[in-house]
Amino acid sequence: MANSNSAEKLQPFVRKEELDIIYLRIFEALSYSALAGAAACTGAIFELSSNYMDKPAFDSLRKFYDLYFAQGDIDKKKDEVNAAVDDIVAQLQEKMASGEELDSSMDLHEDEELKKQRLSLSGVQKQLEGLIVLDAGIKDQILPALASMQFEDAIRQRLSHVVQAWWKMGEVLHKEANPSELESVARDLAKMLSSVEETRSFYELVLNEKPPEGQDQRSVFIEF
Amino acid sequence: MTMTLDQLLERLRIFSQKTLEWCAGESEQSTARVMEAIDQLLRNTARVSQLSAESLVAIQGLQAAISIRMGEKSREGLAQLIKNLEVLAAEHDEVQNVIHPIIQALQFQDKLRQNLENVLRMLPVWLEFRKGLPYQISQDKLIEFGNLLTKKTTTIAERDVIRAHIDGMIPEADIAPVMMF
Repeated sequence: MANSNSAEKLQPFVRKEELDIIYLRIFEALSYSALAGAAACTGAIFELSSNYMDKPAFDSLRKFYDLYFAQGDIDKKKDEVNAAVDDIVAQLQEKMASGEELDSSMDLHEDEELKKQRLSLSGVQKQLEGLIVLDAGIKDQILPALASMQFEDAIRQRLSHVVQAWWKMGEVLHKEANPSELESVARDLAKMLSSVEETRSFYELVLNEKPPEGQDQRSVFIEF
Repeated sequence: MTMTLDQLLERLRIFSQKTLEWCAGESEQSTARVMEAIDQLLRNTARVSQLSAESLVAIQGLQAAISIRMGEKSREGLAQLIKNLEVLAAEHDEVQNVIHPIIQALQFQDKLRQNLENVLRMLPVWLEFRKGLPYQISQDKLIEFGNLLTKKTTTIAERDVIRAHIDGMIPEADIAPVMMF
C-alpha cells in the first residue's frame, strides 16, 4: 500500500511490466467500484419496491437476488454445477452399460455445496416464475426491481469482460507476438463474451467482421 | 485479417469505450425504473389510502418532476432534481421512505456514469505513457504516471485507489491548496 512515510524505503526502479500490472490493478479496482454503484442502484429500487410489494413476492425476489449475486463467479459456478450433473449422468450410464444394478447404495453423490446451489437458485427462480404466472399484477410490481437486477447483471458481465480483455493484453504487450498470434488472442477474447450486442460490437470493432452464425444468439442469464 | 499490436490495442480501446458508454447509458434507465416503481406505489390502494392528501400530492409532483427530467443527460439537471427531492423529503416526513431510495438511485446513477467515464479516460494515458519506456523506470517516473492518472479523476475515492497502488504518492490532505493570486 502507498504511504508517503515509506518514500525512503521505495524500490529505486520498477520494471515496465510492473507498471502495466499496477495500471491494470487500478483499472480493475475502479471498474469494480463503478459496479458497486450499479448494485447500490438495485438496492435503492428494492427499497422503493418494498413500499408497495406483497411481502411473499418481495421475499422471493430478495432471495433470488441474494442467491444470484452472492455466488461471485456465476458463470464458473454454473459450469461447475453442469459439469457435476454431467459427471453423475456419465457414471450412471457407465454402470448401466456394465450391467450393474442401480440402487440407492451406489457410491454416487453430487457435491453437497453444488447441489445446494443448483437447487436453491433454480428453486427460487421457479418460485418467482410461479408467482408471476399466478398473478399478472405481481409481474408489474416486480418489474422495476427485476429490471434493475438485469441491468446490474449485464453491467457486471460487460465490465468483467473488458477488465479480463485488458489483463490479457497486458500479457501480450510483453511478448513478440506476430499478427497471426494477435488475431488468435482477439478470437480468444471473443469467446468469453456473453450478450448479443456485446458480441456483435466486438466482432465489428476488433475483428472487423460480422459475428459467425450462432454467436449473435447469446443472451444474458436472468430471463423471465 | 492481420493486425499489428498497436491496431489491436486501439480497436480494443474503442470496444472498451463503446462498452463503458453502453453501461453508462443503461444506468440512465434507472430513472425509468424509479418511475415504474412510483407508478406501482400510486396504484397500491391500501398504501395510498394511508397517505395524507398532502403526501399524495407530493408523490404525484415527484413523479411529474422525474418525468420532466427523463432523458436529461446533464449532471446539473440531475443534481437539481436530487436537490428538489431533498427539499420534498424535508417537507413531507410521511413520504421520506419513498423519496430517500429515489435520491439514492439517482445519485448512484450519476456516480456510475462518472466513474466509467474516468476509467475510460485513463486507458489512453497508460498506453501513451508506456510507449518508449525502457525496461526499467524510476519510482519517480511511476509516481509521475500516478499523478497523470489522478488528473482524470473526479473524487477522492478514485484518487485513493490510485494512491493505494503506487507507493510514494502524496496523500490528499498533504497537498497544499493552489494560490491563484
